[in-house]
Amino acid sequence: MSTILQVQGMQKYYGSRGVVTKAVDNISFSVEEGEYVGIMGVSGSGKTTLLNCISTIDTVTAGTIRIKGKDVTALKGKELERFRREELGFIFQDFNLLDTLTAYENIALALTILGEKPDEIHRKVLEVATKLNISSILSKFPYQMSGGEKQRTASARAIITNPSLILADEPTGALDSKSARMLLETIGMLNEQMKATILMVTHDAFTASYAKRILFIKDGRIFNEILRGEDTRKEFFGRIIDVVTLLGGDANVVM
Amino acid sequence: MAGSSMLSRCSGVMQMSLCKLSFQNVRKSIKDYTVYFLTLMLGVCLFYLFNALDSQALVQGMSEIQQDIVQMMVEMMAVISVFISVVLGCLILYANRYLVKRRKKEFGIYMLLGMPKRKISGVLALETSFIGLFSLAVGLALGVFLSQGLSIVVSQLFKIQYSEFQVVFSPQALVKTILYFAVIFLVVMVFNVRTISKCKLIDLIQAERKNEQVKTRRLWVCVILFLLSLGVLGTAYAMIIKNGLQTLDGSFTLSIVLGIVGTILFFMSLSGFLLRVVKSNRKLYLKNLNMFVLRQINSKVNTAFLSISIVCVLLFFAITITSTAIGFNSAMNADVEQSTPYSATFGYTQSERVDGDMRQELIDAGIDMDAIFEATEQYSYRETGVTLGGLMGNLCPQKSEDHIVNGISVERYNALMRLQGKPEISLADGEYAVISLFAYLNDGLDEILQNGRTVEIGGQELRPGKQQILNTALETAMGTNNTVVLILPQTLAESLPVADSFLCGQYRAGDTDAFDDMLAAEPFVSPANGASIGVTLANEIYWTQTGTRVAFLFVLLYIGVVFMIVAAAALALQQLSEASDNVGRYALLSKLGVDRKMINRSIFSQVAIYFLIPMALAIVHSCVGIYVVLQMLNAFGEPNSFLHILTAGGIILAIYLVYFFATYAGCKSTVRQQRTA
Repeated sequence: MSTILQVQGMQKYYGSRGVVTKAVDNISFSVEEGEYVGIMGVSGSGKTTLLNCISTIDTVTAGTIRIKGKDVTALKGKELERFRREELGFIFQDFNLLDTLTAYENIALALTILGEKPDEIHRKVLEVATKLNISSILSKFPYQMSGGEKQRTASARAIITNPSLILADEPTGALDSKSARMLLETIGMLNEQMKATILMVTHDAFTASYAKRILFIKDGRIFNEILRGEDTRKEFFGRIIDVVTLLGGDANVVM
Repeated sequence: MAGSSMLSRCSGVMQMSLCKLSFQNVRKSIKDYTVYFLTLMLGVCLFYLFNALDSQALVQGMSEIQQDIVQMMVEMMAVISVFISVVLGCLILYANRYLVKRRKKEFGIYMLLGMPKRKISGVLALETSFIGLFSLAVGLALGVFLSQGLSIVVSQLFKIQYSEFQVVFSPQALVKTILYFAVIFLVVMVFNVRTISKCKLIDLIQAERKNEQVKTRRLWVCVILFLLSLGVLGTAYAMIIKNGLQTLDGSFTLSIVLGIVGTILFFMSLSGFLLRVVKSNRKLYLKNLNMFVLRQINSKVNTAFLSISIVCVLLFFAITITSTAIGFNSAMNADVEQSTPYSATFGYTQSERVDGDMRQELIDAGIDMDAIFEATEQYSYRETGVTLGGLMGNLCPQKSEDHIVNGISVERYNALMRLQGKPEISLADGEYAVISLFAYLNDGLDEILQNGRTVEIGGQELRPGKQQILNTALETAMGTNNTVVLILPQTLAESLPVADSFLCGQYRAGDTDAFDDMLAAEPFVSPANGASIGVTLANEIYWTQTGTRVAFLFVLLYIGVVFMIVAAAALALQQLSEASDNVGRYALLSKLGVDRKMINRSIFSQVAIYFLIPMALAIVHSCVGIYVVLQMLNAFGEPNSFLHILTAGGIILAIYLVYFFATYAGCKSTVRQQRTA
């Protein structure tokens, strides 16, 4: 297996002169192909900054981020936008489907902006729709779909470009527990059946328990790392809670 | 006591903060709603401009005839202005609705913070007054500035010499403009207050989230509606072309109504129809953001077809009115030169009197002919017994068949030409020549001259002696007395009975205005034989026609330009407000990796399509409209109006393009601002 993402000594500072906030303070880790990695931490721990830097929306202060061996911190302007289009897939908090487009068009959009051949687009949309079991709702508009259908459509859009890395930022943040579970199952399916590499950021232990490996971040540094291994999701959830308690306990001691 | 003073202080603070809040909101709005302000200002400016025609500085240098004409124009403008103010009022209400809609969330927050509805209405009313005062002030300033330019145009049209530069300013127009717009803003204010008081807090807070539900019509419904609309439009075109503008009766109204219905049906079905067509072509459909642009338009056109139809009809009127105003102007200009070959033409006012020594009779009536006129000539029309139908046969237009064709002797004709300083003709016995002032007869007359058609007059067979039609008017007259006149050999002409007589004269050099005044007291009655003689003066015709022409031109330009502005502004406002609705969609596209260039291109296509579609149909409508108007103008003479129509079209398109690019820039910056925020 090859390394998809390699973060090396990454730092991100905000502010200037005397008042410097170290949002990300010297983080290094890597993600292999086909992995499903969760990044956990409380608000302000730097996890969203980390994800923004990886997704090329934000720039780093120091260090390198390599995706498929390419240093994205060195990319600029158009190159950057093209890289984002071609190598990254996104799953957003609240589906983020375009309300004026049908499911088919929402999924196809990801390919049309890459300039793919029309016939190829059509074939790929139908293929991914079959895999995600949304073939029957392709002509529906978002307001005509159920929450689960919207999630699967959004997931289909994220996977159809065959991105090297799918990034999910608090994907369940705005969902009720039932919808959240459905979305997480879909993401799990993308990972297991379609071999997608996924990096998910969350503060929620339940959400995180769907990942295969979890990095805990605190005050901009990696605090801990646990692997799911052969555990069931419930057992894994228990272990996550343990770490979270540890994180919290530490905070209490400081206070 | 202390409590009440506290309360009043409190409310004082509240008043101040309300004022401050409204002022800040307006300052914010100025940046956001350039198009709104632009339109208000232009409206005020035009309103002032066209109502300030009677400004003192201008009227001073005018003769009495000219002043009368200006007075007539001012009265016409007053009537038109009422209509214009209603149109502008509607536009302002429409624009205002968007302003309020866009800020619903802001009002919701005020309400949530506990501000009573009454206060919010107050803020809005204050804002409206700020906006009103601001646009009124700037618009009036612009109007006063531009009226300097317009006054130069008017003075040139009326040939007034400016002795010195004077600032042209009309207090009446100023008061009128302020009054009319005050009423409009008052209506807007009432409307705003009502909107707010009817609003529910939940709707205001969730205003952003409420999306129009995308209604899609079935394909066959779209196709049938589309074909139906084409049919209705075709019928309307055919009716108006067939009937023309000669009679403004039921069929004219019907064709206008059909045109409007057809237009609405067209836009109702167009987007659905277009979507299906493009969708069936996968290469076009699945390319870049085409799909997105198409859906954007489709989602709105379904609900916005009515406003697009209105814009289309307005554009049609704007183009047709402006083009024909300029075309008409040139047509009538040619006419006035033609119909005033002499300073004055005298004729009998009693229909039974057809002949006599008119010069002597006028001298008897106390007119000093020698002092006034350099030279005079009297001539008579002779009864030929021929009608236009008899002369032209089947080449004669049906409506003109019964027109009587009079004759004139070649000797008299040449005498008149000498008086006019124009070339004489020679005509042998047994020959005739044709004078025609009506362009629409020329093709037919040309043909009979080429064919050598003979005509029998006074028992004598005549053949054409000249191949060309002559087109010189024989008298100074309002309009043309005779459609077609035959020039006959002298002996033949003198043997025919006299139909009517005229005396034509050219003034001596000198104070022609004084001569006009000396001849003003018509009719002149000869004490010797009781003959009553009337006079038509060249200056009178000239100024009446120039006045009518200028008044006509101004009224039409006024209406045309206002319609244009209304249409363009309505489109622009709609697009701008839509751009802010679309901010979220563009933000998402950007997250998906769509670059700025592609997003800009998509915005451009959307705005362009919105501006193009109504314009395209309006141009088709206008082609028919202008064609029909040209047909009518042809009866007046031969206007070489094509160039003028192109000029007018160019002006209209220029205004439209300015609005288009302003809108595109506005939409782009709205999307960009929100994206970086």
